[in-house]
Amino acid sequence: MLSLIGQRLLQSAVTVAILSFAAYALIGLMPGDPIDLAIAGDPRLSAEDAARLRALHGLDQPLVSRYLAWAAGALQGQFGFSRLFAAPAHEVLGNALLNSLALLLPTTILSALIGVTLGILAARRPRGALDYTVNAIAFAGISMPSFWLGILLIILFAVTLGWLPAGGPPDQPGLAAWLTHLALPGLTLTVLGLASYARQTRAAMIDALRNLYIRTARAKGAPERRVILNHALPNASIPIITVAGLDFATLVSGALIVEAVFAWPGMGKLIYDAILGNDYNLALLALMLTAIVTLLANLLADLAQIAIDPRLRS
Amino acid sequence: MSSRALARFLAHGAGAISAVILLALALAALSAPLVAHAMGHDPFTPDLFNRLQPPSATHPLGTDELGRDLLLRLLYGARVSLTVGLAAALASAAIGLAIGLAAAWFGGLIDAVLMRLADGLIALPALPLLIVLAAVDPGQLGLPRDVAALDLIRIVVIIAIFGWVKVARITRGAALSILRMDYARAAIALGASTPRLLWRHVAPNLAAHVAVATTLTVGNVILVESVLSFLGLGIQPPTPSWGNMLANAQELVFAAPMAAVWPGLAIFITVVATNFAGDALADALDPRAELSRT
Repeated sequence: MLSLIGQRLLQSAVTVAILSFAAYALIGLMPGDPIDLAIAGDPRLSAEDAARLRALHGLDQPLVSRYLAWAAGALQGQFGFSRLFAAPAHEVLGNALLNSLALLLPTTILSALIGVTLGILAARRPRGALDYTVNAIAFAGISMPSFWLGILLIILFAVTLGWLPAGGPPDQPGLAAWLTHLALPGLTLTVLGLASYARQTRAAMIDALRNLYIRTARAKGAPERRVILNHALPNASIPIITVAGLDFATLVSGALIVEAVFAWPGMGKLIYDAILGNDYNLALLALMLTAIVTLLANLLADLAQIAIDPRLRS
Repeated sequence: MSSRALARFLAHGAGAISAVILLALALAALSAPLVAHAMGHDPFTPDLFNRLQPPSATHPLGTDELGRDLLLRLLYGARVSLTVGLAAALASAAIGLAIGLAAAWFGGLIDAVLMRLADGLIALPALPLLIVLAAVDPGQLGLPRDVAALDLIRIVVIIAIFGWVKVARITRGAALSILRMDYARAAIALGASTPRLLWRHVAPNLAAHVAVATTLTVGNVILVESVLSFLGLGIQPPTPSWGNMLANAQELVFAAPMAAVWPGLAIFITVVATNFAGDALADALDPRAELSRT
């Protein structure tokens, strides 16, 4: 078990290292380096000034040595400054992360609870009315562009009814402002998120309920509640945990599309702005954080599956 | 597809309806220039005296913020979105097939490296990486900039870089089990060459799995394309795609809410239809489905 964790951690570290170099190189391929931007901003800069600036920022060095310098700093906890926001990269990141968590933590928990419940209810009577309804919701949820659902909700609640703001961060302090601004993006994410939970839970529960041990449990008189929750659900939980692991990762990477639709200043928007704005330090820090959390979440999900299913322990 | 498989496909109600819908969409997309000619509008030329018109006889769905006919832009958008969907799904399938076969046939180190690469691509958050790839400047790679067709090719390439994993895994798994079958071992024993073995014995038995996965990928690709175009990283205006039409419409959602409904509905219907068609195809190509239904 321990050696498995160690091996996976090592693999993840290698993946992160490769990815950080790939991201560094790719961002270098984007139009406009910082000095180009400086020249565009101040036409009086001469070619010699530009060359001196390039040398000052180390931009005249080859890509690999620039990357190594960045990596050495990052490993010591020095992530550099964000050019776009003119502040230390980790501070900029911290704010966006808090905004993303405020939006994503409640919606992730809600969509998991509702989705799993719907999936269980649907699986109890396959081809029943409820099953068809849940199936339709799940199918619609995975087939719908998330930004379209967001726009439809804006049209309904902000344009037509005028009940809720169409987007943006809360304009005044207080819980009420937060809740009204979180309502529409939260609803969008919950509906889309519960679709995959419901789909996976339904399929896994239908499979689990076919097993002979379910018949045994019913034959010895276990109440239906116990049969479902204690006998079937643990056996159906592997795919649900996989979905939860993927979901957990998006807590950090943010929900770019929904954040873009509702102008919510979270991690998704930050990563997007940083990459397109050529803000190396910020983009790399955000990308690395996302990658590390994603890999750790996958590892945790695998470990949880091993803890639940003894058959995986060989 | 054999006639029995075709019968099974058509017996699958939702699948048959979906296939008809997809065919109709493809025909509508193909006939877009004819419709434009018949209606007498040009979907690319702004007509500032007719901005944001409500639906009328001359403009069945109204006009956008530059006075262009929405129905026509929707039809031209279908050409882009469906082309990207099909091309990227086929490219993903081709790469996946090659990588999956290579992993299964060579085994050992090659297998391990290819499959870890696949794991890595699945495990990583796709959207930030898609953005990085989409933001790469083609000029620095020695490619021409600002060519409309290049947008299309570029987005297909980007999606295919991420899209091959599913087909590769399915191919590898199926190919490994086929290579263990007696007929494959007999072919090896009789001295069949590697290409012949893979082409004559392995590939035909993979076709069903790959066809299903590819059909399901088309829907997914259309979603990804719409997301990238919505974010301004995909198909660039004035070429319409369903994604960039939605991005446009969102800015004007208070002035013309319905303009945001149609492109999304088009994406939604197309993706639902490809998903149903994929499921129906899976049933139709699986001979055991017929046995289990009776």
